Amino acid sequence: MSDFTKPYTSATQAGLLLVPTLVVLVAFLYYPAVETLRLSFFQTLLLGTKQQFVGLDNYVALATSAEYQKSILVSFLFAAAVVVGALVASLFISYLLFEVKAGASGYLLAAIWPYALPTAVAGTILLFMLHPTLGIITHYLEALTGLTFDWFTSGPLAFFVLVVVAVWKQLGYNIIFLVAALNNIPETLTESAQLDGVGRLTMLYRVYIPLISPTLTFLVVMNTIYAFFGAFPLVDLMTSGGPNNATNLLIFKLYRDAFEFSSLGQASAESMILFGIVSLLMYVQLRFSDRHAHYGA
Amino acid sequence: MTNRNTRRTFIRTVGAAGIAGLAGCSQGGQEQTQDSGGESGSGGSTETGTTAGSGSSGTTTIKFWHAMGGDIGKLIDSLANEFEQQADGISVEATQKGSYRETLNATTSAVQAGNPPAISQIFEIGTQLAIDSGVFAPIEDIIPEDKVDFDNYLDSVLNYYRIDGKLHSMPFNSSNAIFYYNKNAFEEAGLDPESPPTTYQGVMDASIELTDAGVVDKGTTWPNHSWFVEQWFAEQNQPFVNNNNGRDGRATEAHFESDASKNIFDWWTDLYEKGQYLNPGIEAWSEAQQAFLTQKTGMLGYSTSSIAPMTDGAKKNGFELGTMRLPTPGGKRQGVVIGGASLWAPKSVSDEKKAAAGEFLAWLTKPEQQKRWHTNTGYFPVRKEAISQLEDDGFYEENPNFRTAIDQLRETKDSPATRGALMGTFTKVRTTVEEGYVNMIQNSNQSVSDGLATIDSQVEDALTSYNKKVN
Repeated sequence: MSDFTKPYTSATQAGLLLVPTLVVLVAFLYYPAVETLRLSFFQTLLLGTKQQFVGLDNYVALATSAEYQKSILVSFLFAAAVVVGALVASLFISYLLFEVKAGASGYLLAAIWPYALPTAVAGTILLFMLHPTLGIITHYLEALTGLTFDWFTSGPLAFFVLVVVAVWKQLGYNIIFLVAALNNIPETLTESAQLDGVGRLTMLYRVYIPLISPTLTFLVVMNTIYAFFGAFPLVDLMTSGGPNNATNLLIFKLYRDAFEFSSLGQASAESMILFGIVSLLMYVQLRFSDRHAHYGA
Repeated sequence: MTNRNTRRTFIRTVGAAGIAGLAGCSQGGQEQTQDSGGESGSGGSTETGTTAGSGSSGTTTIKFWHAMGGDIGKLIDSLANEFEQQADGISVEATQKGSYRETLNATTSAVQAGNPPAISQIFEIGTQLAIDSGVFAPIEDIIPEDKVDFDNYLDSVLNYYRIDGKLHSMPFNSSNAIFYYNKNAFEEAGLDPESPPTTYQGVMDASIELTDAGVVDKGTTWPNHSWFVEQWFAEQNQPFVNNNNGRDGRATEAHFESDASKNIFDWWTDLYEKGQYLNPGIEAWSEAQQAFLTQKTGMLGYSTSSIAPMTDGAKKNGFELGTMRLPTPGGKRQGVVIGGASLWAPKSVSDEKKAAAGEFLAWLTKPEQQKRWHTNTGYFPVRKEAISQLEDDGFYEENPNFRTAIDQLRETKDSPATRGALMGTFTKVRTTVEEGYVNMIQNSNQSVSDGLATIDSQVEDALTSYNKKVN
């Protein structure tokens, strides 16, 4: 190996090159994380003024709070619905995009643009379009079905609306990865499978899915993170956690406890618990996929 | 083999980085606020000398953080500019910091970071919390006595912000709840557009007439906001919480199971069940406004702070706007509670800046400025002279919509109920009330009194846990 390809000449130089990244990580990730852990043992008034050490009180209060337990349940249900819904929908759309011959780039563009829209903007626009009494979509939906679609007062409906919107928002991201993965599959495999007379859906299920399983694993992880953290603007703008806490996701609850209800200490404890839950989920998912995802050999 | 490992490592790393990044999100947000606070602070010093002052000692720059956007925000900017032109060596940097809650959070963060604004606008329900946080100096102490005479300020406004005999903040933008109605729709439905309803029953009857005539979808709307409930408690002279609404000591009990409370919620759920209340959503000001302006409803509960823009909005949508007093059960009228916000001074700013802030506040609440403030928005002037001067000018004859708001305020009889509640955990109480109403209309099996019992106990839990924190 020549010196030409070696990026650095000494350990000091290597360290110096790492400094900018480390500074950013420490200032914006590690320090806030440690501070959050510290605050979770304190009781606070108005954003950390008048801190008082209370030990594990915040955690005990959360463990015994029915509202918090419901929030955990709702978050898990939401994550499951969003991950399954987003993956299934994007897999089918990607498969169609992969197979289509004419105007492929036009379809691709149409399929991924929701991802380009900021979540907060999407939430605001959709709130007006889906508003139970003022929304244009609701208006036609009710005219066509004859049902009333009042998701402001019905918990299950509000949950359903939130899931649909969250799935829609995530489609573009998934499709980009899935279309890329599908296009990487050697054409010889497709051809030989077609010669064997394999049908389209069997082809997807038996041939393509195993081959793109690393991408799918990656997307399961990313979509889980999205469902636990990324759906926050949608909840904040569209349902505010209601009605009756039916959409009170953990990430929204902790924001509200910290910045609206002035309990930064308790919210920090919630933040630590959420971090724990999602870390654990990641670990389980990756262990599971080690056994089942096909990375080639 | 190596290929396999790197791919898996990649997935793990991305996953871990993703969670770590997002879990620190809440903390990160606060960090940013502090940073921007610091930035505008350092920017201030470079501006020294831009204002041509006669004094040789240079310019004192003070930061004024507020929550007023749009046209009202621009009005504040122009007021600040005018003050600079006539003041010697004081420059005011007015910045909108987002919503009321965001402004409060930004101010607290800036205080902790050691670089607070000299003046910060805090909403009325943050009053107790602001006092408990101990980071603000009572406004009475920073304004020189010869600069203001508080006898000339509106009593109802002072009564709200004066706690234990001390004025903690400068009343600035004060408003009440008021109802707007569509005069054209009233006329089409055969109702007298010059005598709108004044009682709960009246609103119900008018709503039914309006929808029967087919001129609107539903009779009325207003944001599902606890503020209206608080106003209706006051009209019936029923304190919201005990200990004289939390003004004689910490509030420990709520009064949601009182008769006054039942009157309100019986009527409100009844309106909904009869299809006469359009539910725009929790604290959904803009949706409620849109429903009214697009003539889906004939009446709208809103704030007096929007009389001017609302009159224009109605004209653009082709109808004439009327204002009516808050409807009350059986016409009981003790009065309304002051809403809006006041201006606070963090005590950790330098004495020089405090003095400058005092000058600015005294100027801002002079009758001249207050007249402009009032007529351009609908927020009340906080000075008595401003109202009497406008009366002499014939302003209220030309603008009868403003008259309703002023009358409603002036007829308010002082009592613990109309002084408004003081609670450190007011934001949580409001959310509880609003969600409580949704539960009542969501579940037809649940009676109003069961719903109120739930709200009552939840509010008392919130009060107890807050009181534990401060004692």
